Amino acid sequence: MTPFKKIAAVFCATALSLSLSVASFAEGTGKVEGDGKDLVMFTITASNVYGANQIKGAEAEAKKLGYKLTVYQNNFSQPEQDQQVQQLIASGIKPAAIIFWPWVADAAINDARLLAKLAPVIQLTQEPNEKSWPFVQAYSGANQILIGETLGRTMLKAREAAKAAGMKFKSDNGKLLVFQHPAGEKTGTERMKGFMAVTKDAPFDIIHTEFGANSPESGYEIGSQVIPKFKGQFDFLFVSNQQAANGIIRALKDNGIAPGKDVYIVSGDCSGSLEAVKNGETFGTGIQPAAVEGALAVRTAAKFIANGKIEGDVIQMEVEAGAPAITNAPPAKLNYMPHAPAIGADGVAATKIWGYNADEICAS
Amino acid sequence: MSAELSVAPARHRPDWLLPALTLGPAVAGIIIAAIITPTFLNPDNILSILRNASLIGIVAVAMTPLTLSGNFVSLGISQSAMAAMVAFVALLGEGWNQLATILVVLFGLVAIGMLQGVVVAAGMNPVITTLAAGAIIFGVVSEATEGRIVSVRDYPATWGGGDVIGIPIVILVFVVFTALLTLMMSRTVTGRETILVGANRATAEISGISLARVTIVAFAIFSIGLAIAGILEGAAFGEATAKSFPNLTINAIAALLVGGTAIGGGQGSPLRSAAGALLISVISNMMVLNDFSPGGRLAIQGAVVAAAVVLLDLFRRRGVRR
Repeated sequence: MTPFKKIAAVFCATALSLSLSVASFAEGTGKVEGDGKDLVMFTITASNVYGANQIKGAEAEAKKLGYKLTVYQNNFSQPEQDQQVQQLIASGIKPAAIIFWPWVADAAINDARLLAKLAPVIQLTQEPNEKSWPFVQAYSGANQILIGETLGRTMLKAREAAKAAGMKFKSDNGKLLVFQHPAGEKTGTERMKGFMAVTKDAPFDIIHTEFGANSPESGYEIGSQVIPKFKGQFDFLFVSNQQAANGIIRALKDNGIAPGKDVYIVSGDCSGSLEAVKNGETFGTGIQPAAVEGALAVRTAAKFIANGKIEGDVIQMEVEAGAPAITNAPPAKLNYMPHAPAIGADGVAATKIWGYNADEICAS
Repeated sequence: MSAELSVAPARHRPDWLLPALTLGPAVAGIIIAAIITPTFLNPDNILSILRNASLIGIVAVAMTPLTLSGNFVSLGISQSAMAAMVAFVALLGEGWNQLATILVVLFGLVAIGMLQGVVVAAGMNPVITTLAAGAIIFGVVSEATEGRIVSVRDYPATWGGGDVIGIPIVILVFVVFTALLTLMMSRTVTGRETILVGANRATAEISGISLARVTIVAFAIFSIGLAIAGILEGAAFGEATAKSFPNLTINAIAALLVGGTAIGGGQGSPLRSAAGALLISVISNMMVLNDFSPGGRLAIQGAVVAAAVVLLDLFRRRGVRR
């Protein structure tokens, strides 16, 4: 055989194996039960409360459906995740599906491409972009635009509550200081799109956006410097998440500003202690159930394995106190988890999603 | 043939010159910041700078004896302080008495630090030892907490963010701790032995100084600072996770180096590390107030550290040649 023929043979064999593997996705097993099949999940470390809850939810759902779930955790590191993908490939395991949260979406496209050769890929938490969609069958996770819209509505309610409490705003619609996710993070930009859309008829005057707040320490470190600069110039605070808000609340108090009285705070999601929401220092937050996200990702994978295809563009799961029964229907291209606002102690107490209460979702 | 030893005339460098080189930039930074940033001298902003400098400063000051003794820096700072914070918050959440909790955390962390000191004294590389210890501590705390947020629950522990006669507690602790360690390093036998071990290990050994004792004491002092940082933050936030103190390692090392402590040991002082922490905090504050992006802030902070280390090293080499 000439070298040219050898190369052509290798190329044909590779193409055939790829087409066979794609064809095998298309068949479907006809049932969502796994019967001991392997599922693989790539996500962030369980030393983070969000990651821990997500893994917990995924493991519980996989057990319920009869799948053996293997979880690869990265410590917020794309290089580490790249290595884990190589390890999975080298291990020779052929999972029925792969649930993949790329830590840096643009840098993980090659990982998605490699994983797609092994099994259908369900992307988690970060929506695929145009470059990664060719390797991803479906998205399962948070709808960041919807979360932004929910936040916008909560902020409008905060404005009404502040007015009712007799607060005099620094401008007609109130001045807003924004503490956003790290610069360029898609979560923050998508949420802001939703927020702006909902508040466009009576927009808040955004006086400044500060990036990088995502933990109590970073919230305090940044807040303690930004708040003196804008002291007396803002009525409302929009904070990326409740953990960061807890740090910013400390910075506000250091500067003699009473949260919940002098300024109203709304946080993007509830990762962190909810005490400030319960005691009114934070007006409201979004309940983003990581455990439900993990469970939904397993369900999406199971439904894809059952059907071998997707159907429709969007399935937006509604907020339900108990987990709805899984059906045999195919997943959609975008499968969004439920998301609910929680305002004050009553809102926190009343929140229950898929069997988890607000404290279990956010802080435990 | 007689050999004649010629001694070059000594050109004395004034004692105040090196401290001035490290404290000077802090003062210059404050003056520049005040000129270009209108809200810089606002009392609330000054307090904010001092608060942010204090926590980093406590750790940098505590690490100074470790570096002075020739044991470089610890790469397990964040993890040890985090462990102290998580333990403090968790024990209070379990209903422990506050004083007992503080003592347990303090002695627990000192024990961990001394253990690292014993390993280093036995000949292990201090950087690798502290890196490994940090990884072990992080792993153990992560497993123990299962990624959850640990909180004090109903325990009324918010004094870490409080003040005494208008001065934040964290600033008071920083000032007192810096004063005590500065005195210890300059006025006690242990302090002078620590500096001698870092400056010239062979001479120190011939002089009968126990290298093991100096190393273990330096690790113990360092651990006291880490425990204080963890307890103060725990008492301020009332909650902690295994991800607490994400940037403390890099910030504390930066403060120590900018303060002019020689990475190889033998030169430096806790007071200068405190000044380094203040300078880092001033630069960070100036950049926040002037709307620098987080990436830009990190780049400039890194550049300041690199410039300080290079300049001080060049200065020392010139001093040696003379």
